[in-house]
Amino acid sequence: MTADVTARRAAPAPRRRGIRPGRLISRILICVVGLAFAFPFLWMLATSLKPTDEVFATGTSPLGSRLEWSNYLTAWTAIPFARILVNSFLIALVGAAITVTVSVLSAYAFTRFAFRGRATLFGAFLATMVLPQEVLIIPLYLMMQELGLVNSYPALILPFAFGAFGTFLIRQFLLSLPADYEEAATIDGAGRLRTLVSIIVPLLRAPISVVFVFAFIEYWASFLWPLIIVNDSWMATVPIGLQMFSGERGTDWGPLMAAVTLVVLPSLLIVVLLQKQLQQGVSMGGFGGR
Amino acid sequence: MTAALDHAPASAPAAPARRPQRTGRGRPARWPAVLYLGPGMLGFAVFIVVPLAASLVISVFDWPLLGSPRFVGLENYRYMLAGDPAFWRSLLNTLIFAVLYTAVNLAVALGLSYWLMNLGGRWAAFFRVLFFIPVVTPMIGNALVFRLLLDDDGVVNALLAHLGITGPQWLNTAGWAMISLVMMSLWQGMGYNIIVLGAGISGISPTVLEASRIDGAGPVNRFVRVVFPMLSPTIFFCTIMTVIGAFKVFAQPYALTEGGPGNATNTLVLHLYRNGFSFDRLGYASALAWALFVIVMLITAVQFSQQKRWVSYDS
Amino acid sequence: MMDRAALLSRRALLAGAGVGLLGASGALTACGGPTGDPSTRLYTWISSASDREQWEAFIGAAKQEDPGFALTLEGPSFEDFWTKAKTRMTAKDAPALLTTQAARTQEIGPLLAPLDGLAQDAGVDLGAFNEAMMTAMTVDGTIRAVPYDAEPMVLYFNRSLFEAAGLELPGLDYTTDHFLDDAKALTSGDVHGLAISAGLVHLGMAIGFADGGAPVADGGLTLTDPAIVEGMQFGFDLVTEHGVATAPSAVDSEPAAQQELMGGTAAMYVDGPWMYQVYADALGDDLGVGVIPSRSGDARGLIQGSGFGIAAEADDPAAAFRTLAAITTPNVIGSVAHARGTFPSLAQERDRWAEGKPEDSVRAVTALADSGQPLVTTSNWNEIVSVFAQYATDGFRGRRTAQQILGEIQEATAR
Repeated sequence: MTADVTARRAAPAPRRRGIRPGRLISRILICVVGLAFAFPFLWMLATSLKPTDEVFATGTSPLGSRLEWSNYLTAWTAIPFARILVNSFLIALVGAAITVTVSVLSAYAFTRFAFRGRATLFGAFLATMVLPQEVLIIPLYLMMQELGLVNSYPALILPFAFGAFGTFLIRQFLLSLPADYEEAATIDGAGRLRTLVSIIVPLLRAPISVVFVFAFIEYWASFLWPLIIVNDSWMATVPIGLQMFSGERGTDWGPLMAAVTLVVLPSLLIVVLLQKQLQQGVSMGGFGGR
Repeated sequence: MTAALDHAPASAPAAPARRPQRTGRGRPARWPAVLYLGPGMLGFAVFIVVPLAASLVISVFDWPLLGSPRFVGLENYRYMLAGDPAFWRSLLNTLIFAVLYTAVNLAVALGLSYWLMNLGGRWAAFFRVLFFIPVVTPMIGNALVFRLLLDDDGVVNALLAHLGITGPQWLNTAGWAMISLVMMSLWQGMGYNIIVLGAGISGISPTVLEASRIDGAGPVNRFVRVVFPMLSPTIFFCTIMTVIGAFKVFAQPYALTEGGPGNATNTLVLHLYRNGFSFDRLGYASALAWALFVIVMLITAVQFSQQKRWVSYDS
Repeated sequence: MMDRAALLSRRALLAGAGVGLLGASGALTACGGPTGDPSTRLYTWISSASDREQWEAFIGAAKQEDPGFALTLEGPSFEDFWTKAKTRMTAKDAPALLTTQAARTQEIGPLLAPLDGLAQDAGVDLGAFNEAMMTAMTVDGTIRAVPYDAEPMVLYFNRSLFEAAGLELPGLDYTTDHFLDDAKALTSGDVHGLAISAGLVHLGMAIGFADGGAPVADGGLTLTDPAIVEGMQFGFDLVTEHGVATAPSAVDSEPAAQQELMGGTAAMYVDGPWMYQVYADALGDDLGVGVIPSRSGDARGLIQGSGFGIAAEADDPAAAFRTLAAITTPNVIGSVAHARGTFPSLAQERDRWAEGKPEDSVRAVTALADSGQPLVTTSNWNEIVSVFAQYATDGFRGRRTAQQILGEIQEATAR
């Protein structure tokens, strides 16, 4: 892992065998911090195995009167769990893919074409990077209602695929990329689009993966917009699905915690799969320290 | 302001001035420019510019979810500033949250990422992943777990009782509810800055660190004199993004405290959501949205104007 | 210089992946979503296991009468339902049927079609249903929903805790003084006299209502009705002054209180009959049901309940009404009451509900139902409920009085 390499470079391991006492204390301490940090997850796991009517009553004991494995079955069947997981993955994947595509095209246009008003347009576009999208949810909702798109994938995906962050980041890389390659290729007769796809995109792998990962996580964790635009369990994303354990007759706490536990697994998978890209991309990215 | 953000990655060379290009077939370049820019700018217009303007229009109407809108002029703004007791409270709460959350988040994330760098190797990699997990687990699930932990008779208070401390009513007294909200949000969101700052730290040239080590600087000294200045652009970026994130806080109070007790943890976005989609007042909610917009823009502008004081872009 | 084949394949791969993802999302949107005849689709709260069982009970009973009967369900969680109904039912492919509650019908009234004419055409006698519920389901002079239950708030108690304390079981003339004495006598050690939850329509409101108060009169909010204020303050005092209950949390007060009753650490709890089966499963023969205490001892029930309505925008209201009529026949309502414990909206089906329940419990619920008045609400009830939920904590911790809290809500929401 890159983290390993860079870290080792920064702090060379001592040559002698054994560990210095300072380092040992440091390691023990970080384990304590890590354990405290992981505690909510452990408690969630414990609660997921309690009978629902003991969740508050046995608030302080890690185990209930029995191990209620059926909570997991209930969690899986009470809501269309598989469908909800697929929804979330699909929305995050398609959303991130659109974000990346649009960002590459825009960044390319902003760096490789000169046109009147380019600086102004880019400035206005970039300014929206600090615009909280929560400001827009009401008109966006009314727009989706007008278009008959409430409770649909396009409504869940499109409104947040056009932020300025991706364009900004990829543009930074394009600026530092000499245009000679492409010019040579263009003169060779290759079309602009082919040049972009076959020569430039491979060189942009690092920023593209950062944009992809950030967009993916943003879609995956998004809560407010799905809360507004989703109307039934069939179109729910994971966070909305978790809400569905509150019924008319109270909340099914046991199955709810089982569901949360089940959701942590794919989330963990995402972190492990993407952390390399994240780490690498961030350190190479526009906001890494120099 | 945008120019400054644009400037952040100091190593990127400035865009060379270019003549308008021509394609192989000799067509003028502006048509392809439109083609490449088309999707992005169309989306930008449809999903950002138009809604922003529309939001301003909606805010001068009494606009229910059902039924037809009625023009009311500036009444929504008048009510916001002079009639709605929850507005000022939620604004104050949002500010308190933003200050506490940003300050503690950056301090702890910076400390942890520096610590992890010193630990190095697999240890750093493992804990970085651990700290990042809550970022991708759904907020609503995280908040529900914290609701159990922080219950009056919950685990946290039971553990405190073992130590002979009578724990507070975390979620049921105004001050502690805000502290709980901040704690839970820190647990949830800190991993993000740990990764970004960690990447920044590992980007610092080892020879520079080595040189200061040979000079006899201890870890603390090294941090203050070498790491912090070199990391200041990254810290600046993290601050901007964390502050904006803090102003958008919604899911945490929605799921952890439901804004209560009283309005003690009601925030601007929660107030906006409730007015718009639970209380059927889309017009008033739009006025709140514009208030949020103006406040965030102002605060970001202030941050950019202050950056010269502590951010150094040359290594 | 470049490997053309490799480049093309990469491009093809990217394009293929993009098309594939879009195609998949399109296919998923199309499949399984709201399809089929709107007249056989019901928008309702369907999320927790017990919600699902409830609706399946209706469908199962209707199928017994007509094997060809079909009804598909869609909807969000109960909490979200009242917000979502407004957005879902105005969409083009909306279901033609939806569920409503008496307390919410004023709020979503514009979504619901008047049923008077439809019932007449179909030969259904709406006069047979519980009168209080029909009043609550009426908006602007027309009936908007057919109720399937009519459930008065009741006082659940734990018989063995009463016996252990040497107390008489609550009778049909339970006064608030008697109730308070019992609660004090029952409180010892880990056991509290009662459990309290912080919601607006719980113990305090039920007592204020039993004393003749009403939170809404002539379509206007009257939260500061002296009887309601007094009932609420009585509830607060039980915690702050008398210490016979633990203060409910700002969130999750309901599950916590329910678990106290079920775990035997609280002797009494106010809730609806719809919870009967859940409590009976936990407490067995120890579970008793009494009337809501009142100053005079004359029980006056606060009736809530749910029913089915037809979307105002439905294309074929007559077809939708046929589906509605099929799930509100006496037999269906009776068998759901029997299986699920919902107190039926039709008097003739009470016997099937009463089967297997202790006689004194049946008497108490019936008395409250007969004396009961519906909880009629305002169109901004959702707001009032959520604002109260935020403020109640202060009341239960003695920081503010019921008069202050209710007065503030009355003023803030009367706009």
